[in-house]
Amino acid sequence: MNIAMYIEANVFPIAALLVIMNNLKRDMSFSWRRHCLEVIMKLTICIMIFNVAGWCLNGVEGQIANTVLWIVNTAYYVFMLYMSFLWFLYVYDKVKNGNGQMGASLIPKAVPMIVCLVMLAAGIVKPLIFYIDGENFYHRGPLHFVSTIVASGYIFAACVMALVGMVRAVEHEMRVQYGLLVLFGVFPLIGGVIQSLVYGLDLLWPFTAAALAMVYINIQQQNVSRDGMTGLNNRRRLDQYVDALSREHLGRESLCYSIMDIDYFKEINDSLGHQTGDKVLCIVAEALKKVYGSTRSFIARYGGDEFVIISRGFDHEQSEYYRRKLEKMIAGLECDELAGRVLTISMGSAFYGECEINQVRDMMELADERMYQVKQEHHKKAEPGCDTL
Amino acid sequence: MSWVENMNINLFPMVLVLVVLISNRVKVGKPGSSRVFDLIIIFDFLLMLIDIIGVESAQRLVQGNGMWVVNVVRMLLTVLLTTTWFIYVCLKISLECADRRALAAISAAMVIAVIACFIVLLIPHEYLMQYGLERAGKKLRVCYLGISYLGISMFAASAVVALYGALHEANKEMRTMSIYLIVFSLLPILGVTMQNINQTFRTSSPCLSLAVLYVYITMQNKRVITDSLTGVNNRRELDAYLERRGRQQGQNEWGMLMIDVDDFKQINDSIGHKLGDDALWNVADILRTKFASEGCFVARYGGDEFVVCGEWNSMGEMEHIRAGIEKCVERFNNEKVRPYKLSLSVGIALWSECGCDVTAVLEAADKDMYEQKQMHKERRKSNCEHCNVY
Repeated sequence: MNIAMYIEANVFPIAALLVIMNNLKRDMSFSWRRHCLEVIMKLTICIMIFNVAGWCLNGVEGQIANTVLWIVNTAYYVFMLYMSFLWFLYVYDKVKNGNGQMGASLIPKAVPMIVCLVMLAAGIVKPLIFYIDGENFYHRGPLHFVSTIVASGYIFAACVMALVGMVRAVEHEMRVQYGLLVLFGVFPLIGGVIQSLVYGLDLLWPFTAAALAMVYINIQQQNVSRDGMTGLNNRRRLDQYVDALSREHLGRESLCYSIMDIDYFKEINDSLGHQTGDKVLCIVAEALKKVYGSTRSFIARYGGDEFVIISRGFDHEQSEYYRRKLEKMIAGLECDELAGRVLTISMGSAFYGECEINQVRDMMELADERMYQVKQEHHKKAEPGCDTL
Repeated sequence: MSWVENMNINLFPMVLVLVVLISNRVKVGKPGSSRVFDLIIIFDFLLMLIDIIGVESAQRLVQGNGMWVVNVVRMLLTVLLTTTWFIYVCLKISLECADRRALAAISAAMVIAVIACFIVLLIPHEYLMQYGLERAGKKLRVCYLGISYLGISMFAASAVVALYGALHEANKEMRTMSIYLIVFSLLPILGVTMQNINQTFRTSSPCLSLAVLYVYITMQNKRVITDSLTGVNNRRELDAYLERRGRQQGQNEWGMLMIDVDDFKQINDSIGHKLGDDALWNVADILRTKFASEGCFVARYGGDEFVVCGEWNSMGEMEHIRAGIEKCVERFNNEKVRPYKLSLSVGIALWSECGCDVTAVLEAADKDMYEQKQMHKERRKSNCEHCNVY
């Protein structure tokens, strides 16, 4: 295959990854996984460059070319192994919910990679994984299959973990996320298979780059629909969801629309400061996720201290049950900054078909009204005993 | 050039645009420009597909009607693709056709596209029996070059429209977007020109795919950083902004305004969330029109709180700004008929006076805002009979 073609086929994936990485830099929120993704992208770019360099120098005469070929090919293998290992860690961390990246438990997982690296290093004495012959042509060594198995093994393991996560996930959104992680492994697989079927193609790494682009675009998509502070769905996503619901839901099953807010949140904010207010919002959001996470509910932050829960398949009793559960959990929340103050919430719910309502928008208004009534009662109850509020 | 090589180059951009198309798919109530964007992706994808087929069958020396179909489809797709790109840029620059002139430009482009399509269909069959510029006879060469110059001029026109937007737009964000659009109209031009010079470079469609990726990511970025209700920056972006500001220690003085809507809770509870949202939108709009053109940073901090950061040098200057906001609010209350009257409490803080610490600035502005709020409350209490707000 023509070398210019090789270069061109790899230039576009590299450019695409550079575009994405440039964009990743803007994102100030530092997290281990984001950093990990950035490193994976950098490694993929380097791998593609080494790959092209290897092809360009293949068969070029001279001692310098020989040395460079050795270096480039070794680097190619090292980077490939490291990249697949990092991807494995990335998925592991995701499945473990952000607790997977640290500690000594990493070492056993890294053993296959280390074995491969040792084999590469041993190449100086006796070629195992690859060797360069006298005319500077690259050949696979007797143990070349080990490196392939290790690298693809890591990717495959990551796929399996993501698949398990997908099966276990309750929320639809989580399932989609895991599904994409499974797909990540499938892309290079397809590339590799086509590459081995049609001679002269070089698709493995460009397809890996495409998979990375997919993962990144999906992360960005989540950021669009998520509230930055609480991690719940944001107002934009709520509007979309309600629109979709209005069109799809034709009264096939019961539907409960609840809106809640935190009592005296304004006062907490004003007297204890915004930082405390933010913390309160976060712990309430956590409680919501815990209580409604296992049901078929959509939770969103509506505005300031208001949250909306849309539950499918809920009747009056169920909604009442979960409301109590939530109130109990929130009353029991511990937060140092609150100085012993107990949090309470007001929640109003509306049901599909109730009061001849069959528009989601009307349900919103009814729920809103009811929440306001509950709030009034809470205020009346609180006033005699507690005049600081 | 073999067809395998051609496929190798085209497959990655194809997968890439497919990924973008899929993530752009599920969106309810998406604006017109977003749909046009989908079309661009589909045309681009098909163009690459037809190119693979064309090069492959050219290599197998297929001739006759099959080749004619491939050639015609390819030319039509090129015309459609470049026209949709132009339309997309027009829509973006004119904010979904808010400007009448955009409509005229779009119609003109469509007319040209339709004429071009007819001409393509009218080209005699025997001209189009080969595929690829290197095998082309003189007549086919003329056809190919004609189409590619039409494409180039469409992209150039888009760049001109974007340039116009960049020069005439007061809003800083819009200006950045226009600049992006210029760059990414020029990228496909580069690709097509390179391919015209040397046919072994199959750069035209891949370049366009890259442009598609970049535009999509930039579009998403804008959604990530803005608050959907009010359209100003959201909390996430504010935190990032403050962190950046905090890191560039020292030299430049800047100030912060913390703005809170008085009695927003009452508006929300007594006349409904819808009007509450409307009030918030109007507050954001007042702040946007007042500050965005001055290069200030406007963000929604929380429920009914907004933060504005700008290069102000002294407390006196900021007091002046505060009075300016009050005037704007007054004008709003007089001009627009709403069931509520807006009133804002504005807290001010200066970077150097807070010991050059971001948290301290926020706290100081918050505290000042709270004092203002108390003052407003007392003032309202004292002339309660005259001013029945609710």
